[in-house]
Amino acid sequence: MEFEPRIVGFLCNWCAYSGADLAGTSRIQYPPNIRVIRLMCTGALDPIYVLRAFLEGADGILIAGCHPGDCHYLNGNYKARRRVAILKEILKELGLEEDRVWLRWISASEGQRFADTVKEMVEYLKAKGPSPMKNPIL
Amino acid sequence: MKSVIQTHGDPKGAVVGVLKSLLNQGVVKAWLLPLSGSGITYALVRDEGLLEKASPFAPVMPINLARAVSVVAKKGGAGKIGVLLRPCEQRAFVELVKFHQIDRNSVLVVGMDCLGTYELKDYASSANTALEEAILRQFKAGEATPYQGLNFRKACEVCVHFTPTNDGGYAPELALGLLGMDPYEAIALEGEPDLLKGLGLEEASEPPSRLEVISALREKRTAKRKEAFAETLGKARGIEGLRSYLSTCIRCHNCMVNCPICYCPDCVFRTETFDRTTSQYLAWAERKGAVPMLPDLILFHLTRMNHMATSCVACGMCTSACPMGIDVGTLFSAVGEKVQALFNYVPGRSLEELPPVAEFKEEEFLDLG
Repeated sequence: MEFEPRIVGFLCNWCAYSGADLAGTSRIQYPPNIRVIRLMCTGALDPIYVLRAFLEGADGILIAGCHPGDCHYLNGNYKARRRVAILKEILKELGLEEDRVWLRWISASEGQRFADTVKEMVEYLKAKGPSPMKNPIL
Repeated sequence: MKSVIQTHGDPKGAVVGVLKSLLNQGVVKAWLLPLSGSGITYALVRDEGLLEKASPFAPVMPINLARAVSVVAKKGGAGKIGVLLRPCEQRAFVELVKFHQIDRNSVLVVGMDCLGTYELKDYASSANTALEEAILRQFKAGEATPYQGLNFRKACEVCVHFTPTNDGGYAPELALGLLGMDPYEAIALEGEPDLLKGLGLEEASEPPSRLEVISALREKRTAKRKEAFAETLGKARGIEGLRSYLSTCIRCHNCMVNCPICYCPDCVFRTETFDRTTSQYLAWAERKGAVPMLPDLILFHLTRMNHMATSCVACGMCTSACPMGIDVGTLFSAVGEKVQALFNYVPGRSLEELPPVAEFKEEEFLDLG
């Protein structure tokens, strides 16, 4: 059986989540590998939740919010970008496959972009294989 | 302004004289510093007579003293407290000021050169006046050799920020210069002119050998640090490497408690955020076959790293505090250095530069999104 990656998506309420909603109401097809968690803002995402998702079995994490300059809270996405930069650098230094964390800007009108992003990510993770971080400790 | 004080064979006495004078002049209301008795005790000292027991050069660091500064001077508004800080404590002090955990105006900092400190238990079980004298004698050549049979703390062995002043950055109100000097003859003092003049000191330049000794030591330590960091990052690489590096962790959280940067009183790991019901744990055990208990070992260390690596001052107190001897500090400072480099940020360098997590730029990390 082909490996089906599990992606946890942290989507901001105002842009990316609405974009995902639009993809659904527009009947745009995309792979069912993503589990979406809605946040009020990507700036509210503590890295602990990304790490927890990896350790509990996620193969990839998509963090998506408003385009730069469009944040509903003015600058939450800029803060998120710094935190993601820090998180990815730490994962990279520890050899923990930072390329499984994707940050994307998707507006409420970009249903197609959301679907394309999920498709692209699923293909990327299928080629890469399961995340080693979910292996049981024993 | 720079000056030099003669110590006449008694470096401790000379420094205590300075501390007393600043107390008597009312420049500070009390001193926060190590006292020696049946060991080393940090205390907030108001009594001039008790300053005789001050132990500014004891090569030991029971806690990162910046933590105590944030206890006594968090709110401020009641005059200045003088504090004697080693360079790594001073860097933690600067970070805590920026995180609003210390009222900057309530503290007068006396910084000092540092060649290294011993683990508290090694210091406590040794002839500690001999340890102190041995290290004071090594400042002139700037070659730190631990006392026979002992080692310096791991963080000290690879420390490159061992002076209190740095070019154009934060400088303490007063800095004791020991490197390249024989402290039994003289100690260099650098600081605010008013302060030095109040002590009756004239402008005087330090011996030129001082700068040479500092740069030679920095070069040697930089090479050692690079080697140690590469070795540690090699060992802790990948999830298996990381698990093995942390395999003896007993979840006591001492590394966090002793970290000067981990100041949050309501740390997520002390809350019920990740408490789950019995049925949730059973569901996890069902799905995975087994769930480690206590849970969240890797999550704890990786999260702590995400939260504090940008401001890690590499004091190594986490390693010293680990009852299992895990060298948490080298791992955190090795990763911290890489993370800080993303922002060209050096913790403790400046009071003006905001910590990376406290600001952002519109045009940066454009390849991330």
